[in-house]
Amino acid sequence: VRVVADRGLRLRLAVAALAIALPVTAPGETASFGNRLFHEKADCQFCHGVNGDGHGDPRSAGKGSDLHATKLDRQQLIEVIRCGRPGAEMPHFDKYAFEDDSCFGLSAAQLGAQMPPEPHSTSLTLREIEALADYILTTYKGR
Amino acid sequence: MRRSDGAIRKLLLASAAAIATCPAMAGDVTPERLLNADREPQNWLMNHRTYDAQRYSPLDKINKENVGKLKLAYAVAIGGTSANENLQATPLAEDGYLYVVDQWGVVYKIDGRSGDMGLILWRMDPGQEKLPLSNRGAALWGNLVISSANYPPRIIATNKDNGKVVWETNLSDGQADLQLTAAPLAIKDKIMVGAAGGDRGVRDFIAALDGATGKVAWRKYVIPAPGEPGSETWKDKNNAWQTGGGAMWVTGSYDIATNQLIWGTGNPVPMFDATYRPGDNLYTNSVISWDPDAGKMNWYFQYTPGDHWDYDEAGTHILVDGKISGQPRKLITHSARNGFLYTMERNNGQILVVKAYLDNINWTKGIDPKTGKPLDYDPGKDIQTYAGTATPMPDSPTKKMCPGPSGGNNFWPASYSQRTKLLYIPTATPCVDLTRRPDLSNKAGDWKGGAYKQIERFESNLTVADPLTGEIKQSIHVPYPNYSGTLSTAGSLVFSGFTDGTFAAYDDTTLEQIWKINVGTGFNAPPMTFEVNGRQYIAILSGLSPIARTKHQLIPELKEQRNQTMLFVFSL
Repeated sequence: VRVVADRGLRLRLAVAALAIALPVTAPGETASFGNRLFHEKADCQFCHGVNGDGHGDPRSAGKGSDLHATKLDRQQLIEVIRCGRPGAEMPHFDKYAFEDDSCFGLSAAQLGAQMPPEPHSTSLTLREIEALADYILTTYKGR
Repeated sequence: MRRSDGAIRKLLLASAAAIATCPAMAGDVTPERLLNADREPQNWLMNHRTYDAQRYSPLDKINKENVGKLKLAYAVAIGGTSANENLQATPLAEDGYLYVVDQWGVVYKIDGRSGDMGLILWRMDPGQEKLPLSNRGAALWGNLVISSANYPPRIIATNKDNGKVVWETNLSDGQADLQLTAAPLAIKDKIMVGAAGGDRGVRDFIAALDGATGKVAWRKYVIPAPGEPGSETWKDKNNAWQTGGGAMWVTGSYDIATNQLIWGTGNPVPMFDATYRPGDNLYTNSVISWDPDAGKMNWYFQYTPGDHWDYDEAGTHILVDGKISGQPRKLITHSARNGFLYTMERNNGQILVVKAYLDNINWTKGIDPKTGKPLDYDPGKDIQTYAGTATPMPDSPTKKMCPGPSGGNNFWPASYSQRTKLLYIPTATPCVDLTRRPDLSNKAGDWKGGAYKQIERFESNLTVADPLTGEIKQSIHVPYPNYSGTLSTAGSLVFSGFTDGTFAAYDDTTLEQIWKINVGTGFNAPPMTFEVNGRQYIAILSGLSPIARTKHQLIPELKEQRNQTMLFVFSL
């Protein structure tokens, strides 16, 4: 009986490990995930426009960039979404971005008034930031 | 047979008794009822309650003696189809039924008669694309609820009883970014509609629709076409008149005695680059008197000619009566976005009183009390420099401007108490750093002409002013933005909401805060009050717009605040 139980446990552990190793979402779901983040949860559209072309709400404080014309690669997009742009209106979506020097090698104290603002919508997890970067790359960049 | 007759008699008597004890069925909202809306203290029949836009209620069952016991009676979830919704409408109330409009133009009829539940009876969903937008409410006319919807811009009349659309008018004129966000205003047989979307490079207008059919009776553009009066104030070679803004995005007022429709207009576009549009840019940043029957302009007054700062004056113009220099006057008073309180003659717009209601104004040295124009306004200049302190120039494109582009007072309405004869002005207080950017003075740049950066916490004042003298009677500072507006009541109270989720009642004489609650979600809609079955209620819609939430950038304690679109109704 003990052997059977151990085998059952091993099997469950193996299935669990496999589930962890596999992507959580299929590519289509990632696009949908990124889409919802862009247009709803993170509300990127407020500054970058519903079509990502930089034509956001005219009452937004800055001028959102045209994501179709972005030159940033995936890692750079992730960095900008995570850290924002110092001295500009692009917010930092990683709420812990400036607690250490992982963003541009700078802390909040060093940035002072140049500190990127908090998002008006919500902060995001790294997983969400990656999905957002992928969405921008597959939907807007170069299109 | 006799027994049967007796049974019928009993039935009829019982029915009559039932009818007598039930609240009156909602009747048609006739033009006469709207003209006399002040005689229905239990109701709130139009956006500002009465045509004078005073937002004063004679209800006093809730008063400063008992408001400390005010509690939530019920709440109703509104919207719920997007993560970033907001509500800006003033609910309407008739015989205990509430009519509210959500961000997507969905109209709700809510039965509040029980006093312990808001039951949604019907919803009219116009099927609007869920793009970022605002909607500031509806109008009641006849048996119809008149509301706006967008994409395309439409005015919709809904049967008040069953929620079915009776007529729908598409007001699109070919301008892709035209929007309708103001609550319509019903006057006599017509529905007045102010157009919005000006900041996106739209040439805005005011229109009148036939209430019965929705047919457009007249439409007048705020920015004159070449050759029309006022076109000489657009001296550019960019055809800026075609994209010049002048939005009429907040509901106007109406003077019954003189048949004048009084409506404020928005900023010229590009909003931060006056060099794109040299000249005074009529009729932006103005108050305009219209004949509501024919759409003829009677007179206008322009507050900030050749604006650099988005000092849009679409906010409410309140009609008051009073004595100035011993003479009884019919007046209009306006707490302007540029930081000054103006009171003018109602018949012609002549300025009688002008005083600053903010103490940090830096864009001008002051206002000429005779002309109402800024002291440093030079009619000979194509580009006004004003005081220079806040005016971005080619060699110094970034300037600190006070008040910031939000004002002062804005679309969040002031109220006027008939009890104290005073104005209660919610006002933003921060300055911002503004940078003029001519590279954004085009469609690709969203017609912004510049950008601004917050440099201090966005806080607010609640200021009490006498419209007959401009004297500031009281002012309290609140550490959060007021995007809501005020409601004054005969109960010696002033109500207002804040973006941190606080809703509060103040003594209308001392401004002592007597009662407050924090509901956890912010307010950018005005409060109102109504009565049903002898009980008074205070109602307000919650849910912050993205633009309101950006005002929290330098308010760290609110960075995790969430957003919910709700109707909250309070009573004793």
